[in-house]
Amino acid sequence: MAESSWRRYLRFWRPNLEADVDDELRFHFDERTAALTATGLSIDEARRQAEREFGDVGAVRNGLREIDGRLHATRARANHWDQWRQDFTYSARSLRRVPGLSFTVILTLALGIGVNATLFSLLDRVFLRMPAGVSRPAELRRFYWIGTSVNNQAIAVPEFSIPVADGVADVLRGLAVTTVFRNDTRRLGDDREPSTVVTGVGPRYFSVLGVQPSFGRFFAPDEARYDVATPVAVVSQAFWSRRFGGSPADAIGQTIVLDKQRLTIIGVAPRHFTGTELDATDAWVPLGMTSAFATFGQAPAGRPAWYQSQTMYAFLLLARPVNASAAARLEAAATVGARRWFRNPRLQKNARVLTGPIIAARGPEGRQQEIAISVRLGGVALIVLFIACANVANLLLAHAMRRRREIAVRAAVGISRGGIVRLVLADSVLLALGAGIAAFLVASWSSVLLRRLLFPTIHWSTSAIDWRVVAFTLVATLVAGLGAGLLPALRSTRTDVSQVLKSGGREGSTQRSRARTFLVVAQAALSTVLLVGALLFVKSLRAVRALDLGYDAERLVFVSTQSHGERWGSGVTAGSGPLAELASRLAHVPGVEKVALTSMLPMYEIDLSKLFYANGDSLPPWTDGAPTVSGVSPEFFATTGLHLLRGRLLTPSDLRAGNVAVVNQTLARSSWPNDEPLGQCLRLGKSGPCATIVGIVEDARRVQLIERPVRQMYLALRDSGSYSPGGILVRVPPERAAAVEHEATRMVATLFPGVEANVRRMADVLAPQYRPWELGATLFTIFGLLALLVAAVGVFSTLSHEIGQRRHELGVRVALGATVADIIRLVLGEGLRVIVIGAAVGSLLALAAGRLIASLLYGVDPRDLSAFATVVAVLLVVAATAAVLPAWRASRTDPLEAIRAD
Amino acid sequence: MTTDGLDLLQGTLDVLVLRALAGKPQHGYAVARFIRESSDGTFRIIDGALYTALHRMEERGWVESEWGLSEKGKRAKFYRLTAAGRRALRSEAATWERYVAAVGKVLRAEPA
Repeated sequence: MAESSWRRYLRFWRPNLEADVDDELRFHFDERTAALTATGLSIDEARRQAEREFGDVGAVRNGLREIDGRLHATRARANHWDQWRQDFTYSARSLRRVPGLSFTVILTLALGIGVNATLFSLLDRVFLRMPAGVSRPAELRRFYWIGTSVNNQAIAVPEFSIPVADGVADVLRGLAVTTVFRNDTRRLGDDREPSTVVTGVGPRYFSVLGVQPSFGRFFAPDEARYDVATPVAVVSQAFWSRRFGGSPADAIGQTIVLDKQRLTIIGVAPRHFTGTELDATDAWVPLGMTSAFATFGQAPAGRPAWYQSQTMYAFLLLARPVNASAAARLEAAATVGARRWFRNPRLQKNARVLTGPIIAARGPEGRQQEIAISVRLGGVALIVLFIACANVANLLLAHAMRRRREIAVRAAVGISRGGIVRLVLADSVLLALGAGIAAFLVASWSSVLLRRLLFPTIHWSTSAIDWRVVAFTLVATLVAGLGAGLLPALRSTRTDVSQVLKSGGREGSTQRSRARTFLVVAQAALSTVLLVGALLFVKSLRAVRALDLGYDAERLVFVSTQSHGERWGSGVTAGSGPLAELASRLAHVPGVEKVALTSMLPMYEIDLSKLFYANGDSLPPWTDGAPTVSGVSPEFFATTGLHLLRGRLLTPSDLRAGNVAVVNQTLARSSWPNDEPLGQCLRLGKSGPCATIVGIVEDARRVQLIERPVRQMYLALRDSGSYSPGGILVRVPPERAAAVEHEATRMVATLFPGVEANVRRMADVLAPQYRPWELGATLFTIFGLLALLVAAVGVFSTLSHEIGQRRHELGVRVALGATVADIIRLVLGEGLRVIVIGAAVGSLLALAAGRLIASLLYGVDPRDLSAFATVVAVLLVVAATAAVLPAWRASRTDPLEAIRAD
Repeated sequence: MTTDGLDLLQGTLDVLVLRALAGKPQHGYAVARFIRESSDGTFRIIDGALYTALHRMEERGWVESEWGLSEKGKRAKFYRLTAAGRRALRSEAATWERYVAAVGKVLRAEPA
């Protein structure tokens, strides 16, 4: 075998190819000439005759060389592939002999690649993918405006009011074509149908996006007008086939029901077009048709219609500039147009309009916390993959060491360096392919889960797994396979043949595993980074949960009523209206501790009022915008758990006597920094009645868990107007909350037929605000634990392997009198020393990386010492656990057997 | 070898070469010698064409070559039939025999 392959390789050299032909022909002529001389011809005659018989020697020789050249090229190609096939077959066979190693490697890589594919699936959709079906989407611009928010933070807001949007559209005429739209989650059909995404669109929506109907037509200019509500709709093909099946062409002329109104389908959108948002739009209707606006459309007397309202910022504004130079001028022009239409004088002077790409996540809008989390998770996923690769490289290195003797034998019989590299790489590529398949399975499950976790309300327009994710997984697999396999492969080529064969495959202690030690250090370091991150998120969640909102959110149930989309039962006498009646009945429900009436449900509704000193002066400016004033019944404070700091609370007699107020600490301090607030009075409006301050209570939140202190004032409930009863607060023990919720809903239905009950636990109202914190903590912890698991496997397998390699040495030690404890101490010590170095390096990295997540943390310093200490301790415990088994095995080394082996 | 021998019919050389290799592996000169001797010098063989045929057949996968030593101990290139070569020999020989038989029949037939 060695002989023939030697020959084969030599023959492939081109000079030999030509010499071969010459040799063959020379042999022929020699033989023929000899044969002819034997018949009596002279040498010259014989040679001439042989040449005559042969024909044109030059031409034949060239012909033969050409044929052989072709033949050689074909064979070389076949040979190449054959080599790889052989290596892979061989590799598969040898890996089957080490199922433990193969399983560990595949599992580790599958986790590493799987989490990356999962994150890729999400980030690709959120950040990279242009909306499908839209023509030249890169040209489209999305508008934002910057004013001043409630809490004085400048943030870019994508929602415009119709008058401002129209003002912008006006000034942009000639530069760009604009349109407005808004997405709502509504039910199409009756209550049994799942909710769908309905896009209300303004004029020119489809033409701005450059979309043509597949069937039927889109809205005519008359149908898209704001001041009419034409009952027509365009549906997506996906929605049509999901709901009704059959050909989308049949949809034209059919009707669908939206909020009890029958809409005629006039068009079907092209196949892949599902709007411009992450949500997949199922149906498009004129803005005037979507239910919310139908309600606003029948505005009560005195209130403007939705399209005239200057306070209703609810519409997204898109534009397609006519050319690049127009695109550059959009922001400046739009700013001028928008300022004309803002009502607020400050906005008229300061507001700015910005534009961003059609992909919302890349725009100037303050990033959603969920998106910020997913970006960082992408980084974390990469780190997990690094750890996995380091671990796999380590395992393969150990595996390659075990195969040293085999490789040395192969080297001795003349296999090339490239051949050895190929052999070892085949192992890792094969393992990576197995891992890639497993990773794909992991990803197809977890990417759906991650979407649901991070963005539960989005009706995704594309499935989580598509060819892009498959391609990503494939590339990641190959890169990981090559990355993890290269180091072991290169090291195997440095095998010193004679030494290995002589020493019987034992490693020299000098070169023992410097590379492997480095890899374990790297794993420990990266795990430290991830675990510190995870712990910081957990601590931050704990800090957010521990926030004192002022209210006992866990114990509160909100009850309000509405009819035809309007608040119902309010604006009537505080003591005897339907809400008061409902409240007094609720007080008798078992488990209910307290019931209060209020004009405004805390952290659910908002009020911004103007307050003045008794002499008509404005209050000093404060960071919170305007103060919040609410009307409350005397039981409000006991029900919500707001504590009195000074003075007294409201009493039933205040309801009749009127003008007294309780204020929060911030309002008291900011308005009378030097005087006694009690006994002072505040006016609602410059010349309104003056309310005397009788008590000071602790601060409570206005809308957000985390916000600057706001000024709050509580008045005794009025019989009518803004401070009359609007909702009921019920205080219950947390375990009774669900039952009381149910009872309240039932009570409204029996007491006031036809009236809708809106019953919610305050904890549920606040849940969305806690969610990002919980998500951060959960996801980072999952990733951190994954990393820890992988690193633990790394420590375990490295130590196990090392013990195996050092049996001889350990045997000698035992023979020389080392005790079991000595050996265990030796092995554990070596294992832990590596981890300590890794943890130290990791801590430094984590310190540096801290600022990357600082914006996502609350109430915890990214350099939190206790977090670092905890992580290092956990790492050491895990490493020690992983090292115990190999150490114990080492201590049982039988000296005789170990020394005799080999 | 006489110069007034018959020219080989197109495509006939292949079957003769294959036949020459039907036994043990042979070098090119032995193939030429075999054809010459077994046809009693009937055919005028251009040896160059014979080598071209051998190399073509190797490209086609009908024969394999290997360097070895000749009877006299000289380095020579030996050709051996592959399985595909054997199949080719069988079918070519059969075709050739059918052809010869048909031509013979025609020649013996009495014109009507």
